[in-house]
Amino acid sequence: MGSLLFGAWLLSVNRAIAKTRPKLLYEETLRIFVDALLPADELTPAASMLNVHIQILNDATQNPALESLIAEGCQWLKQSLGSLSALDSEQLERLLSAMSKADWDTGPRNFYHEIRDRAVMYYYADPRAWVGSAINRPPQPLGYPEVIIS
Amino acid sequence: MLHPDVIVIGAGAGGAAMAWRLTQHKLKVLIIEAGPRYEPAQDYRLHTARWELDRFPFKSGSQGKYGFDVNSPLDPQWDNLHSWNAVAGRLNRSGVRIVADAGYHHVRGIGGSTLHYTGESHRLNPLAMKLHSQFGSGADWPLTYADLEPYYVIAEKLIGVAGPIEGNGRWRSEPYPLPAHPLCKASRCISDAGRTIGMHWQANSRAALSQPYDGRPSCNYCSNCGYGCPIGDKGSADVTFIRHALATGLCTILTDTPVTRLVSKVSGRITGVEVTDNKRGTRILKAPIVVLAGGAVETPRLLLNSATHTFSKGLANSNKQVGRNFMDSLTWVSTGMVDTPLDSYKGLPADAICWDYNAPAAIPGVIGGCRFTSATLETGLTGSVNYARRIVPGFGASLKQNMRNSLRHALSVSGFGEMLPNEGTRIELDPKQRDARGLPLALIRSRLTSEDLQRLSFMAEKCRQLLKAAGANPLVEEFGTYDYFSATHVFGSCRMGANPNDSVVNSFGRTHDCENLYIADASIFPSTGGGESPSLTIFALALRSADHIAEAGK
Ligand SMILES: Cc1cc2nc3c(=O)[nH]c(=O)nc-3n(C[C@H](O)[C@H](O)[C@H](O)COP(=O)(O)OP(=O)(O)OC[C@H]3O[C@@H](n4cnc5c(N)ncnc54)[C@H](O)[C@@H]3O)c2cc1C
Ligand code: SF4
Repeated sequence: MGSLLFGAWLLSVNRAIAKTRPKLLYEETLRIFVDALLPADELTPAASMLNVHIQILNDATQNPALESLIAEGCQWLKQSLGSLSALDSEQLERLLSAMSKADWDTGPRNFYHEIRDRAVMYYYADPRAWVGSAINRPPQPLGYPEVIIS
Repeated sequence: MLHPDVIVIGAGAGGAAMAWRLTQHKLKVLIIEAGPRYEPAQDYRLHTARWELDRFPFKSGSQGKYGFDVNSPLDPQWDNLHSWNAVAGRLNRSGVRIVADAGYHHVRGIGGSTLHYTGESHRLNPLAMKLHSQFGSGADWPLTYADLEPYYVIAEKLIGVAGPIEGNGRWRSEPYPLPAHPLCKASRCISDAGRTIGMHWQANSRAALSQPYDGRPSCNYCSNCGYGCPIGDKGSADVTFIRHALATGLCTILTDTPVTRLVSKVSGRITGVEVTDNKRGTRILKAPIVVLAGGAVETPRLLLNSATHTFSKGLANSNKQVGRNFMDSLTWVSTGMVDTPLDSYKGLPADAICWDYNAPAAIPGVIGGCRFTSATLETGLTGSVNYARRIVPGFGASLKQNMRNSLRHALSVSGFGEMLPNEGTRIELDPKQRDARGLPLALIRSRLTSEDLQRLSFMAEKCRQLLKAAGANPLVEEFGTYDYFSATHVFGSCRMGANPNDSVVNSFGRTHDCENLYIADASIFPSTGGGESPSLTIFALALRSADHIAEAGK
């Protein structure tokens, strides 16, 4: 998996081509990507169940740099690996691990970091992700008056 | 209001205190504020699931635009001061200092930047007011702590400061109006760890109510003062000075109305204030006295933008001091993870403080002090989003499990230090950028001297030592103003002084050049103090100047 990360990023992907790619490709790729970042477990749902990928795509409509990054990243994944849906969870984990360790000046690292950042942001802003956590409600209206009593 | 006695420009810390005190003298006050009004219960977002995304809700018109010149190269000698976190590693990989977010953190609105301040309420260390005569650095204040003390008392009562009985190097004529808040678990851990390395921690003095007071409820320890206090116990200027000023019936406020120019005669007397709003266009408002309280960036900008044929360098600027001597924020924060759950996402931000190194000669080898504060809440580690974005790395099932295991365990300590004026740090008019009305923006120039970096380095080392003593291992995040320009406290760009050659205003805030123009905001500070939060001193100075204005008008 590692070799495909280095030098294979299609930073030169023609933006016009990228934009003509069906939105569905990005949606499907991002869905699988965010679910690999934040999979379901016994307490909480997978990221896509909370529409995390859709929220990221919505951001991209207002943010040209993010729009390009998503287009280039999804095409790179598609061209390098085929459809992400064909990968099993171990392969996905190896992919994310390699992307997360790539150099900062490479596309894969930037894609990983940006999508992870937005994914955890939208995921953990949803109360369905708080089940089993110490912080399981907004700070108001109750506050935490117990801190000074204890 | 047809014929105000005084026009106050800006409804932030200084403008609000000034307006209230003037109404106590039965003067009619018109406040002109560039930003909007906030309704705490409706506008602030802490009751919603997305509070960490919404943070402080900036409404339309509540933030200005600025030019920046801060990009000095980073000297590898200070590499241990770079900002980083466990998720992203090094945060600034550019090799030069860069602007963090808004850079100059501020709010335009009724209450100004106090709307999102934490509410630490500090008196200045008297020793920090005589830096030049005692140490040959910076500038002296043209007034003494004793001159300010009665006004500190009035301000503390009006905003409702809760503070400790124990002293901290500043004498007091009266105790705090409210008892100190008990320390939360995380701050007790910091205080205990401090003891083992010879640091003394105590309850911080806070503009957050420890008991119901003045018709406002007590704090419910929701952890997020910086995102706007929805219950109104935080002593921001809108729910304290402004509320009481309006109750007199002598104060009127124009919101969403930026002042674009001060109109002057050749004598320097201000004859009018030009305002421009979307509904009524441009007009001139008049009063015998004008008080400028736009903050340490906008106040010099307005003076410089008010140049005339006679005052070609800008108003109150015959000695070219407007915009010089600007001082911004020297800050550091380190965060580590402790094994025992400290519930560190709960409580009152900055509830504990250490003043040991606050005096001007307290840091070895450099003039200018600093203070340390419990900082887990102030740094935003109050919810899952910030944990996941900044300090819990990784992905997949292990990320989710690590998140659950981490949430009560972060512990942060911060240092805030003195910054002395230097030639490269100043406010000017931006030659390239203009606002929607065609006026030049303020250009914020900031440079750090090697003395500033020595202080910063001392602060970083102390924070690390303290976290080590608290068992906070590993460190997961550090952030400082070595590689980022990130200013929450700004001062000095129209400093006060006894000598009209090297200052802009006298000890009552009256400009040397314009007899009826006063300045009442953080721009008049001759020095920053050793990390003290400025608002209480801004309030006290404004109250004192208001008494002077009222007295002079009799
Ligand atoms: C995140 C954060 C936390 C902080 N925490 C603390 C703390 O705990 N304790 C503390 O003491 N301080 C704190 N501060 C700093 C404190 O908020 C400021 O020092 C203080 O509010 C500055 O007061 P001021 O009167 O100088 O300016 P401001 O409060 O900024 O007020 C200036 C006002 O003037 C208005 N204005 C500007 N130009 C014009 C114009 N041309 N026409 C009309 N109106 C104009 C602005 O809209 C604004 O409302 C904090 C600041 C930040 C950002
Ligand atoms: S901690 Fe207290 S003062 Fe701060 S926002 Fe919450 S309730 Fe208000």
